[in-house]
Order: sequence, then structure tokens, then C-alpha cells
Amino acid sequence: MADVARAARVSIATVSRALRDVPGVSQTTRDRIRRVAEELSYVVSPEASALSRGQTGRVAIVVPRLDAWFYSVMIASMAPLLRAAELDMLVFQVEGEEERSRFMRELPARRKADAVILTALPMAQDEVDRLDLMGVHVVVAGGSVRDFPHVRVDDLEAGRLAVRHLVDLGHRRIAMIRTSDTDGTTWPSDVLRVRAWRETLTGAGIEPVEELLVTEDYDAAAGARAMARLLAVPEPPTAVFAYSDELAIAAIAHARSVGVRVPEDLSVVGVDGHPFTELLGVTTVDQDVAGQGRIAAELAVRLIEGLPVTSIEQPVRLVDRGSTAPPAR
Amino acid sequence: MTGIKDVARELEISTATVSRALRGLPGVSEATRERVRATAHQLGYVPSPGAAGLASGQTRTVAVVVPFVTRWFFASVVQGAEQVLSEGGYDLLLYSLAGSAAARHRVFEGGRLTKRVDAVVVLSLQPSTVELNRLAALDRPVIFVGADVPGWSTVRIDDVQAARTATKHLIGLGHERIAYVGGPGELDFTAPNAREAGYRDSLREAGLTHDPSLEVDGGFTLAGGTAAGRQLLTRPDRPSAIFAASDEMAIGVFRAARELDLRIPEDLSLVGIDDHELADFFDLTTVAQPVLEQGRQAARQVLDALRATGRGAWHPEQVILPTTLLERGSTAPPCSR
Repeated sequence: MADVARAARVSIATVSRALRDVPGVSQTTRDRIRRVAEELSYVVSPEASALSRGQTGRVAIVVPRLDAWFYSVMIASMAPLLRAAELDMLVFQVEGEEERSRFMRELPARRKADAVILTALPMAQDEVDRLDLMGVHVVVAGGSVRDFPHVRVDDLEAGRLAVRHLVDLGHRRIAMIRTSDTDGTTWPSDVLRVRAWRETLTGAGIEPVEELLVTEDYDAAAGARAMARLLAVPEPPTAVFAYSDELAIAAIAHARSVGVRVPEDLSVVGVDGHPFTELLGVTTVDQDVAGQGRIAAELAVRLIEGLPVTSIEQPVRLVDRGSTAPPAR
Repeated sequence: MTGIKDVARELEISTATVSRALRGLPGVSEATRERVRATAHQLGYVPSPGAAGLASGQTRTVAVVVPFVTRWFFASVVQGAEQVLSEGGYDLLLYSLAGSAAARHRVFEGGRLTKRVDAVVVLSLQPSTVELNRLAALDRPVIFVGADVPGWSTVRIDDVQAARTATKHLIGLGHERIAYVGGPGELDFTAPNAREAGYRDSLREAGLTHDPSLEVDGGFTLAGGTAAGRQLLTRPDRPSAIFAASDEMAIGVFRAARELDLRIPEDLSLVGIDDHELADFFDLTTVAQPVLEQGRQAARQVLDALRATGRGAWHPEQVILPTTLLERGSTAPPCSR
């Protein structure tokens, strides 16, 4: 900035005012300074200009992991809207209890971003309480936390659609597979889908069997391990409701690899609308992840611009792609 | 929010002293430094990274430019890079281009990176001369992942060699009509050209006829792979084997084969590159590349460069990570028809 001031023969303060469009500088001077700044390829330091404006020009996206389909689609669909609003995207990957608790303790996103989008991040209660200390706008995507603006689907409804579909086909022995993050966290999507499994079964006069609710640690093979456990139960299920499509895909692959036919011997339904479900013919409850990402970005932009926001609940729909059928007799 | 003034007021010392104490600058007694630290912690003071950056000339931020974040390869590389950068105390600024030339132009040529970041990691793009000039003008460490850019720091696999491994595996099984599903993609990537070259070289070395009509653009996507598979497999003289330059395209070909009631590997042998997390479920033979590790290596190079004291203490480094053929069930000798 000193170079610009010297070349334009004005004070540094005047350069600063002119480039930030603060009044007190004549239009002629402003134009001259701009021209000089351009010639010298002077770029306003975002950090410096942010400090004077109280804004960073950034949005922090917090995800548990990046390499799962759900999160990468969320991030990809947020990008164009943030870019259009001239906002840069900081990405924080907070995997597992330890990293998350450190993140919430140190709050690295604080002062670095104008808004934080928590993307399907399971949290413990004391971590939720610390969100107020962030001192920035908080948006929740793919779920909800307290009264922060959010975009989500009705996970109870998503679970009901899936389980009712299996009940309607005539299944009575219906399992559910899910993955755990770590103890002490509650993520509504998980809690609600498990509740939907229980309530829908009970509502249909079927006793939910705890042995048929299988939890595995998260990784690419979790669905396969869960399926192996279910097939080893003395009286295996005739249908499986999987928390996600990735679990359903791995579960089906394992079942087929041990000679269990899907859907003839076993029905499987997932949740998400993963592109592979179309390819592999997996019945799913589509939750329009890209749509949720776009809305989350829009909520963040509106909050930063001081505009009113409303939380959004996106509809879900069952897409029958052939991995479910009436039980064999 | 607690500021430096609150800490100063609490201790009845000047803000300058607090600032010096927190930044570890000389001229503050150890006792005072300890008191400042304790009070800052107690009041919940978090140093503003922006302000600290202005003082030290650092942003503690690294830009990662990625063509498509939804593709497994890119998402995994970013995942690996983020792990190492955050451990090193750096934040990751993600520029997702989503295949848009305008977005690419803005990132490289709009002065977007100037003063925002301490280093830049570029994934899988072949930079133009103009872009290289821009990046050089940044005067910051720049690392390319998945691209061969002479004179610059790179972390990649040998794409020509990976393609040769895949193609030679098919030739070794006795296949003679081998198709290639690749594609230039929407942006200028390095990998597609190198993999195509590896495929062609292997055919030539084996004395097999190179039939350009057996090279189809699959756009490096699942849908593109499916379309390419349909095009190749509905030909009356369909190939007995297909080499797809990525697992996502190979899985697309898998789908096309299934639609056409072709059995794999009896009617069609199929090999990809990557070892995608779902490759195992498709029993797909593939040339595995260390993907997370490419992200981690790039981030380590960034940290090394930023830690190097002064100019000249760090030199661009070219890292080539090994690939391995994973023989699963999707490849077999051709059926005698």
C-alpha cells in the first residue's frame, strides 16, 4: 500500500480509504489511486481488509470426513454459491471423538470465518454448548443442532418410508444396520432412523428384535461385516434396512458373495440416493444431498449478509430400484 | 469476544506487553509471560489468526485447487492433505472448480491466491504457461499432485507405467482386441494423455493392431464409463477386454456389460486404475495407486517448504509413488469363440 501511496503521491490513509470505498476521497483521486494500484498489481490483502471490516470473506465447512460420497457432494454443491458470493471455503475435517473435542475446545474456525457450516457432524452435549463461543454464524447441514439455522430431511420419515416398504412387502423379520461414530455423541439422523425402525415395526405389530440391530465401526467394509453378523444369527432376517446406501451396497455385495440372492432371499433398502444405487439396482430413500448442500450455502450467505433465514426440511422419497421384494416362502 | 485489551486490563499491563508475551517476542520476563498466558487462557482469549498473520507475514493457510471434489480420487487426496496440514497447524482453503473453465481462470488469474495463502497444492491439472507464470509470481511453495510439471514440485504416480501394467496384464492373458476407455475430460488433465500413451505403447510393443475406434471417451465418470461401455459392447466386433483409465469408469463399463447380459470375466475382461473403495465389491482387477498418501506427501512437502528457513533452503522435489496390479476376478483369458 505504501508503494501505491508513493506512486500516486497521496498518504497511505487516502489509499486505504479509496480502495475500501470509504467516503472522504474525491472521485478523481479515487480513480487515480485505483489506476495506480492496478498498474502496480496491488491486491488488497483479505486479512488486512477483513480486520478493518470485521469480516474474513470465508466460510468454514466442518465435516467428519471428506472421502465419503455424502460429504463430498455436500461440499461440491456448496462451492458454486459461495464462489458467487465471493466467499472462500475453509475445510476442517474433524474425524472421531478426539479430533472433534479438540476442534470444539480450540475452535480454530473462530475469527477465521464469517460462518461455519457443520455438515452432518455428530456432537456431544458439552460440544454443542461451546458453539456459542464460535462468535460466528452457525449453519447446520444434513441435520439440526439446537436452534441454529439448518437444512435437513425428516429422518424419522426417511426411516419410516424404508421400513414400511419392507413391512408392506410382507417382511416380519427386519434388521437394521448402522455405524457408530464414538460414544457420547448423538446425531439426530442416526437416533431418528433407529427410532423409525423400532416404531414402524411396533406399529405393524412386529416386536423389534435387538439382536437384529447391528452396529459396526465406520469404514468401507462396515456393511459387509454387519451383513456377515446378521447371516450368522440363528434365524436370519428376510429384510435389512441400512442407515446409508454405502452400507447397503457393501451389505448386498457380501450377501451375494456367500450365495444369498438379493432380492429373492433377502431384501435390502438404504438411504441417500447414492449414484451407485442406480447402477447396482439398490432400493433407496433419496434425500437430495446436493440440494441440501446448496441450501446450506445459501443460509450461510444470507446470514453473513444480514438477511433473515428460515430452516428448511427437504422432502424424501422412496426409489424402488429392485433390491427389495416379497419374502421367499 | 475476549480481546488482547481485556487481558491487558486484567493484568494492568500494556497491550503491547501482552502482544509480545503471547507472540514469544523478547523483552518480556518469563514470569510476566506466564501470567499473560494463564490470564489469556482463563479469559478464553484466542489469538486472531488474521492479526498474527499480518505481524508474521503468514496466513497459516494452504490453498488446494481441485477439479471435482465429488470424485473419489480428489476427495481422498484432499482428505490426506487436510490431515497432515491440520496437524502442522495450517488451514485448508478449498477451491473446487467443478469442471468450470471460468472458475479455473478466477483462481489462477484473478489474484485470488495473492496474500490469502502461504502455499498452493494443485490437483491433477496440467497448468498452462500463463498459469505457471501466475503461480511463480506468487513466490510461494506450489505442489502439483497427479501431474508431471517439469521443474516444479510434484507428487504423482507414473501414469504411463500404470497404464502399461493394466494393458500388459490383458495382453498376457491372451487378449488381442483391447479397448480403452479414457478421455480428455473437461479440463486439461495430465493423467488421461499419459494413460492413453501407456495403452498405445503396450499394444505396439506386443505387435497388436491399434484400432482408434476402440478408444472411447468416458469423461472419467461413472455415467461416462457406462456410455462408453454401451458403445463398445454393442459393436458386432466388440472387444474381448477393456482397460478403463479409472475405476469409476470401469464400474460404469461393468454396468453396461450387465445390461447387455455379458458375463465378466467370461465374455469380457475388465481392468481399471485406482483401487476405488468399491472396486473390491465389484471384484474389479485394478492397478492400485496410493491416493491418501499422495495428499499426505504433498502436504508434507508444503510443510517442509514453509519450515525451510529463508530462500534456497528448499528445492522442488519430484515424488513418484508406486502402483500395484491387484488381480481380482474381472480379468481372465478370452473365451475361445
